[in-house]
Amino acid sequence: MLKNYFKIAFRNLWRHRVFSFINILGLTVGMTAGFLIFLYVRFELSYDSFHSNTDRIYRVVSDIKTPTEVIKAAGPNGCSLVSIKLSTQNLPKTIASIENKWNALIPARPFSYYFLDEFFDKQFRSEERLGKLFLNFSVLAIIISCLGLLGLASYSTMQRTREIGIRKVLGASVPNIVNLLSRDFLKLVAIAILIASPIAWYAMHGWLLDFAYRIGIGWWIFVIAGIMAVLIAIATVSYQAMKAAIANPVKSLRVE
Amino acid sequence: MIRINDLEKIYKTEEVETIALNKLSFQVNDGEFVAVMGPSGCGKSTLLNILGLLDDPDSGSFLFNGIEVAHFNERKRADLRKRNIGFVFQSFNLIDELTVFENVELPLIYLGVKSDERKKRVEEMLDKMQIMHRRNHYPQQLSGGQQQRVAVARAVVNKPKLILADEPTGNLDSSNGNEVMELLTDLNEQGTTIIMVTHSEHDARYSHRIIRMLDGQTVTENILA
Ligand SMILES: Nc1ncnc2c1ncn2[C@@H]1O[C@H](COP(=O)(O)OP(=O)(O)OP(=O)(O)O)[C@@H](O)[C@H]1O
Ligand SMILES: [Mg+2]
Repeated sequence: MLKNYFKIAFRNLWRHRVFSFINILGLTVGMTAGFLIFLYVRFELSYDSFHSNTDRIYRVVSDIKTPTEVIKAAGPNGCSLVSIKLSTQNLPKTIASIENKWNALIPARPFSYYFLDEFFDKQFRSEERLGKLFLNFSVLAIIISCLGLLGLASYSTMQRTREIGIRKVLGASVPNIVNLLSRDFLKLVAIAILIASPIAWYAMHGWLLDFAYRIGIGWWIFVIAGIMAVLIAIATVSYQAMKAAIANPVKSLRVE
Repeated sequence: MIRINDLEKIYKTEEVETIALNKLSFQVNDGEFVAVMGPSGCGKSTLLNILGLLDDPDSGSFLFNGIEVAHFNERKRADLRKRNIGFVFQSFNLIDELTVFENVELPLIYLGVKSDERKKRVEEMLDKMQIMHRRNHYPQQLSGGQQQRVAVARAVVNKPKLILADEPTGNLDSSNGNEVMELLTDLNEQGTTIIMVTHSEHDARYSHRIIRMLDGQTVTENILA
């Protein structure tokens, strides 16, 4: 039964091979874009990912509350760099007071400072611009491939009007027909997912290589993106399938 | 088996109203073989579609095995249809993407018959129609006569009580046509009721009774057997 089922599926794909090819290609582009958006967003959200050696950063939670103690902890023999989270109200005064404390406690080292956000901003601005551009194109690609899917759905149900009519004459119910049509589409989507996943992985991997620190690309990302693609496909196709299934078979068979 | 009374079907397009069936009444008994004849456009196909529960009439009554079905909804019609009625069309209406075997198998799938049982019944039927050697071919690889034999096999594989045939020999040469008529006659002799639309007096002579229609009404009935 299952063997038979695959046989028919591939026969259908082969019969409309040009069409299948274009469609799978379109879906692949859309899905690759989807994957990349997903990975990009995750990358942006991941904690402290901008540092080189992120894996060696630890968050130390202590009871130290006053700036004096913080600077003491840095100490003459401690680390040379201290990150301090500041309230942005009256910033010049705060910095002046930290400088005073520093000079009093560690006179041997000159006080200098920079703002982390500006620093990262400089370092990542170009990547960010690229990322934004990329995000926009990806969204566009997804929209286009959804439209493609919708177009394909209407075209192929139209092509199958007669077949649907015949099946109804032979006793197919409306759910039977909707099932049949949706299943054929899900097959296409499944193939597209299989093709898109390695491409997306490769593209993302290449991009991430430019970063000192990279997030991993877990298999579950592909599972989530795949499920989303299937849901979108079901949403686009079910309307067409429903329409075709309800149509009067007498009219369907009249069209020659 | 079938009794219709004052059956009406009106097609409305933007401006024209076509009365396809005009208060048509007749009855067909179990085991009968009835031919319906009449000029083009007199409503024969319309009638057959209603008798086959593919379409519903605008008014009138239609008793199928004593049950009023004129205003059955889609689901009930589909259910009654797949259990009781087989169709044969002029243009065969086989599904090109499926093999001979798969085409004949379809009605059984929709009836929910198990796979082994399906295989047995389809093969039995293909044997009977002498098309077994073509079981893995596609419709387009067959001659018209062979295609119609497949269509007949598909129509009878679920052992329907009623077969509706709309010009079953219309696309066939006379020898293939006669073969199909012989098949229908055999089925009728085994107890299947048959209603056949035809333009051919020759084919009509295979039947027991000819109903002649004009403008959506019956005009005469000739009893042959
Ligand atoms: N869907 C439709 N919409 C509008 N008019 C229709 C429709 N179907 C049939 N008709 C009209 O109803 C009338 C009967 O049509 P029907 O198909 O039943 O004729 P027929 O007797 O089968 O003809 P033929 O012998 O040519 O097959 C015709 O006048 C036809 O134009
Ligand atoms: Mg007709």
